[in-house]
Amino acid sequence: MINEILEKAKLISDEAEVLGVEGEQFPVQFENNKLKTALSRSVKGYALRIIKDGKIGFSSTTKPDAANELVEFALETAEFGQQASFEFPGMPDKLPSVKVMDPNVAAISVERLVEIGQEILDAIRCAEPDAQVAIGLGKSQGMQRLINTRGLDVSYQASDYSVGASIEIIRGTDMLQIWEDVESRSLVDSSKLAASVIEKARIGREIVPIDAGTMPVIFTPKGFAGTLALPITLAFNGKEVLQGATPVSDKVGQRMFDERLSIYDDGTIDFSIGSQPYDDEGLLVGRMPLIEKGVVSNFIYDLDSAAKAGKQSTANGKRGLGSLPGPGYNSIVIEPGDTSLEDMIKGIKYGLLIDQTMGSWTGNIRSGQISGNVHYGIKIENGELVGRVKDVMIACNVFEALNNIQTMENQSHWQGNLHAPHILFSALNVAS
Amino acid sequence: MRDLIADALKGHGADYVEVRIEESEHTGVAYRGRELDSLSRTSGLGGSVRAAVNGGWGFASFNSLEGLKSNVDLAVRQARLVGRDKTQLAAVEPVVDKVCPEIVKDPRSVSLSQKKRLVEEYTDVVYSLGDKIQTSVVNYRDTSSRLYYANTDGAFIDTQSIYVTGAIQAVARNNGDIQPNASSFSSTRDFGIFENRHDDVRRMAQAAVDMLSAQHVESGTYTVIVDPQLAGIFAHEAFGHLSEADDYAENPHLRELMTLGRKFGGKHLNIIDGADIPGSGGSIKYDQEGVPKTPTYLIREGELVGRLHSRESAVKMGETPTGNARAINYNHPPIVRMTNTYITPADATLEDMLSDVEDGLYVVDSMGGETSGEMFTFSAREAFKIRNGKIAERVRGVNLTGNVFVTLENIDAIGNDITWPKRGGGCGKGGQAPLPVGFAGPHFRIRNCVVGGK
Repeated sequence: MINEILEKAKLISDEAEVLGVEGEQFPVQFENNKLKTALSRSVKGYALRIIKDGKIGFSSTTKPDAANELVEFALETAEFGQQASFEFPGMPDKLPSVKVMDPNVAAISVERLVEIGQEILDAIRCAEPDAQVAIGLGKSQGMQRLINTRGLDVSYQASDYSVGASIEIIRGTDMLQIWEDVESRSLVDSSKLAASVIEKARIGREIVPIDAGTMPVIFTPKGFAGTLALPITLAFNGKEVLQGATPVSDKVGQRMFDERLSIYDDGTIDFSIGSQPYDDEGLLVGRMPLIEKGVVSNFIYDLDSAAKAGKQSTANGKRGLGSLPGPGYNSIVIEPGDTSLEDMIKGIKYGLLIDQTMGSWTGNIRSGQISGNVHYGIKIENGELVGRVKDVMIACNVFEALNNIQTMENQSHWQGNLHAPHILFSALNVAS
Repeated sequence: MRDLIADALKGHGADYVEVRIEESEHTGVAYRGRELDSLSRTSGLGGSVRAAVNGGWGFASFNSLEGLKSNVDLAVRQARLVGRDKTQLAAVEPVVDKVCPEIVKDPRSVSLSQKKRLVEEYTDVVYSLGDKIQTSVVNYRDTSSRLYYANTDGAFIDTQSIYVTGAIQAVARNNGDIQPNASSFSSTRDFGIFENRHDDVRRMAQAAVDMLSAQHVESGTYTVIVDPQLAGIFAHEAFGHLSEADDYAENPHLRELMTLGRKFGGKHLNIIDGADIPGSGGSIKYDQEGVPKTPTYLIREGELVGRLHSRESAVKMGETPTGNARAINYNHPPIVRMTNTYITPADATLEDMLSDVEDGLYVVDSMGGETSGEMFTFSAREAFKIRNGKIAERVRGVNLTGNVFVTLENIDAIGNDITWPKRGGGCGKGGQAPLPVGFAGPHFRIRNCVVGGK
């Protein structure tokens, strides 16, 4: 089918590219302390991008046998399409080495997923009998093939495995909610998940008052991913940079952040969910600094945004089936610092540790401002974690905060495609 | 199609099975800055089977209709793996119906060049505000779809629908200070919602520029008056999600917390889900379990009186299904969601509410919100100080947060006006977003509202 689409597209266009994706997912869901649903999703579809008379046309479909319609739609959009400022790439000159397919993920049975879920559920319920527990597990495998009229023909298979647990403990009108998850392209160990949730429930059991004001705040890797990462990923996206609508767009080569801060985009880490051998335009994926020792270094580009910026694609072209490629991240890796988490906490007289926030994405994130409700935050007093805070908001400018880092943990932890240490900011604004 | 599905359901061996088949077509046009960013036409065909065995659910989705029967078998096998109990579903009269949208202006009758021209015009409007405009993003998208729904109770519903939606964002900049503003739109029956928005776009973009010279609000506790646009989002985030009963039946603590009759606010407070507003995102005739959507009082005169149900949550609570089991598309099982949620008007005028506020905030529309059930938060799109009973200067960076058990009680005045802004975007829950919903309300006033800011 994919070759047939390219052959048909060739007849009506100057250049063409076809993406074919095929995959299967098997999620299992526990809700309210019980196994509830087992799902199976089978996905198959094609996307066609053409260049005709210098203009781009695009269509996609999940209909089987719709090659003619696909070509017709692409042709229709090319008439009004944007100017093509790039050429499709040919075959890469090297073979990728990153590992993204674990046969153990394909081999694990749904029955085994149910068992793993049940073990986590039992462990949490044993420690927290009042908790309402929800657990989601999933495995998927897929194949992606990309061909174009310049001789590109690349394909790969990838797997994905995830386990997540969330709990709710209601006392009076207080709802304590905690979630943890792990995700990888390999069959990652989830045995610590239950212990982590139980420990957080224990520390969060007691609600303690906190005085509003400016104080030292630790963001966990999960807190960073959910709260601080979005303004950064938006700011370093080449497409946004082109519009001059990010605070870093004219700052390449300048030091804007603490000089201990280095952040990389990295697609070469074996089995990270952020890894893939080729980007979704057929280029070999690599590793590149976004921030190096506090200095703004690079932005991420796909073919189109790179051409408009007068640069080369950084092999960050990402797409869903139904949309044109745009710049997207692989794994985001923050280099660790030199302090243990224990020492970091011990050194704080009065402060806050933030693991979950709500609504921080609704503010002016382009400028780096975040303002969110602290959903799971632990007060630190005289070097000890003393209890959970409530009805508290955290507000800061992420770019200013990253220039006011006190210490960074000496190791990093995975949270989705983010690999980050705990980070202690010297002074952030806490409102209550 | 009906025969195809009926054949596939023969000898299924489950307590209950339902099948969805969905065909759709989409057109999208997006400008980023002065340039066309994407123009696309896409189509979809897919389906899913959901089956219940011994209280467990199995679900299988697919893109090929060949082998529908084998997908029924797969979903039943999955359900059997899960089920350890008893399947309970509220009895409903199986509906056989054909639903067509009452289209005012069909997006399919409008040429691609015309859609592109409007996107260009709105881009021009944003840029017409001068050199403080750094960039704009204008998105337009339309969808037409046909959904066939059938279940083993005998329901067969053939629903055709259209959806026109998009958003226009202006980004103003003054050196390092970047200030966006945005407005969005949606309609389930009229391409016209995308036409003649020039004035609205100009106001929105002007506000982005004006905000550059506005102070950031000081964080703290304020008396806040919300406008009708934000009022609807408040109804949705601050209370609506908590009334979704999918969690209740097996969650004794939540059930106790949400006992009918619990007092949440004053006598003036009424919150309803299920308004039949022509063109609004949540205006559905049936939900995705084939249940007719009925208007549901959630709060009446300050008291909790109802909640939103699927067939399963209803029977487990001994209540009546409300037609709130919704799915964003065939690829997801239905879960309990809102439709059109609103606060009913009372008797105060905006002037009354303003008159005795010495120092407060007037907040207009929202850029988004989030809730955990108990706690909620959302940002104001625009905000002004209230000084000595008058709306005064602009401020920015206003993010409201609260606790549903406290904040609804703190509403001390509700206005006599209501509007249904046909905004875009939608609601997200359980990995399903954006689901078209509607929200509305009158102006109202909250005392002691926590505001995050500088």
